[in-house]
Amino acid sequence: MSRLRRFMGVAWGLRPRLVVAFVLIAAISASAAAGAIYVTARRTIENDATNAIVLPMIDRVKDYAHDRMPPSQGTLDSLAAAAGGNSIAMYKDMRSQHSYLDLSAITPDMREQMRTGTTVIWQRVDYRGSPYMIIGIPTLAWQTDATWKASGLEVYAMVNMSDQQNAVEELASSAWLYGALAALFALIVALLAARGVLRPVRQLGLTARQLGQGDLSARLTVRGNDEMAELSRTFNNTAAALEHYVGELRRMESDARRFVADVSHELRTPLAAMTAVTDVLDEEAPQLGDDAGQAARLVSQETRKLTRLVEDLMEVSRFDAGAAKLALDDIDVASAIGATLRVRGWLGKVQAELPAGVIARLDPRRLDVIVANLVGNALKHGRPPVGLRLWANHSWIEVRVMDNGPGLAPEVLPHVFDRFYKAEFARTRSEGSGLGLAIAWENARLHVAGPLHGSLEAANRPEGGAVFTLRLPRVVGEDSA
Amino acid sequence: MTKRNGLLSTLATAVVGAVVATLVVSCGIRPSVVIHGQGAPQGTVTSLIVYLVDHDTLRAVNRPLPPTSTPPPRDTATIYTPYPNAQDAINALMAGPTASEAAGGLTSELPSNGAAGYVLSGEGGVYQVFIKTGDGTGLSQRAVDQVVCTVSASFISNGRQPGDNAVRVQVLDVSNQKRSAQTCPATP
Repeated sequence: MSRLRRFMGVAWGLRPRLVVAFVLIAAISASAAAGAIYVTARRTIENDATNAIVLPMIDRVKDYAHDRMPPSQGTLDSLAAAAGGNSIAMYKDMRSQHSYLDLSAITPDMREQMRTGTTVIWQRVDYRGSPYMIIGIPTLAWQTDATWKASGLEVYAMVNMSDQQNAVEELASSAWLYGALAALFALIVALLAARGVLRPVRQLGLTARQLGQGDLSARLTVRGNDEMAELSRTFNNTAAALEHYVGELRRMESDARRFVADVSHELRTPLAAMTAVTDVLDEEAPQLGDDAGQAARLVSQETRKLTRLVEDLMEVSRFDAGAAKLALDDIDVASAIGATLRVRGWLGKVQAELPAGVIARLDPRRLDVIVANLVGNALKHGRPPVGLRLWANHSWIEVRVMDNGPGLAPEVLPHVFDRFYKAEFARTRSEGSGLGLAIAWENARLHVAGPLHGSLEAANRPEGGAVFTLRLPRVVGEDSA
Repeated sequence: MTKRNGLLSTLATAVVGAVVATLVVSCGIRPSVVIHGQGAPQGTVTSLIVYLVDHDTLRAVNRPLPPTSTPPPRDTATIYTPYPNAQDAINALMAGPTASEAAGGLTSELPSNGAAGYVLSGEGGVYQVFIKTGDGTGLSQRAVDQVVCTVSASFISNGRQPGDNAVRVQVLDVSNQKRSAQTCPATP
């Protein structure tokens, strides 16, 4: 049963269920009505036939019931003739002549009840494939104990019920016919009802999917005033509210980003002037006194950091605005990374494995930014030795930067590429802007070749220390065009 | 989920039940058991019933039916006998108890020597019976009861009781004693 239920629950849609329910209801109603009518009508037919046949026969036999026993053969013959139809009159061993009634058609039960009973009896039997009614009329004799008992004079009559059978069969076939018509009608009604109910449901499903895929302007057409219309209206209101709030959030976010971009842009010009001034101050610092020289160096240092921060902010703003574009070039990756390390003076501090001959189509500036950031972080926060390994196959370039520091705490790992997220120096002043890894991550993701997206991942090595893995799609030569 | 499928399975059960019921009651005129109707015709005569005396009470006994209706003995051939069954019963009654009946303690108070009874036509629903005794003596009341009951039984057994439930019989004898019609005191 539970399997049946599962089958019904899972495999059956709303439409088949509706159709089945309708057809079942029609079938039950039709068969109940037809069955009741059929049973009643059949009983009426049977009773009518019985009354029409039995009652006159009893009357005719009654006229012969006053004879003295044993009857003469002539009496039996005329009694059988009077009873009419296919009948036989019997008394003990005597039989009426010219009777064709087959006594084997009479059930032993009936014979017994004729001997012991005091009423007219009848029984419907199946005789050679046809329905027959056998009527038994005993005659009664007065007994010394003042009762009537069977005298032994009996009349049997056998009546063919084929006409009644045909009438009943006609009744049955018309019941089947109208039942089938009712079921067909129910099927049509069910299909129409299912269509009416299911069309809005399907529409609702489609629209909800559109909404889920990001089309917040998807709405339902509200028809009518029923429960489905109410549901559609509610759905539309919800979608409108969602669209409103999402729009609001997006506007706020883009406002915030534009503000950051504007601020950094506005800060650039004064910073350029300040940098020029601090360069001069730096040169003059030794000639200034101790305190003044220190102050000049501090101003110069903080100005450089501010410049760096503004540059990073502008870079991030370009990513957010979608303005960041790749400037691709076919480069030898090993020599590009080597140049990065050399320029920053890290050649001696990094154990780099740079197999030669890895040619790929990349943005060299962005690769430089990423590698410099990863190696800089490793040198700053990890412990030496810091390792760098370049690896490539035909579709990927992979650069791993490893250190032997304490690694990244588990709660830090998911946020390591978030903006302004500084793990161990949270909210303390440091040299970085807090945007380096975020920018590296954006730069990695910017490299897209077909279905392949560049990625940057952070993890801890089993033997200790953090490992940052940069994966860029490798597009070689003219394939990139 | 459960509720919906519960409804469905209930429906399915109902449908199966309806189908089974339809199959059970279908297919035209079915054979039946033996059906009892009204009472069978009464009045077939298989034996004579005469009333004898068993220690002061009347008792009905069977006598075999003569093959054909017989006239009363002696000079009765000319007498019209309207009720042959009743006449046969009176004849049997006048013959007295059989040997086995006598051995069982049954007696008759009707005279046996040369007596004869005649059933005459009745008037107004009353049957008249004339008992001719050899010595001209009258009948005792019990003998009259015997006659009345025997005649009543013969009419009842022939299925021809007139009008009222009880058959009324007037017994006449040579004593010219006037008796009114009466019913059988023993017949229920």
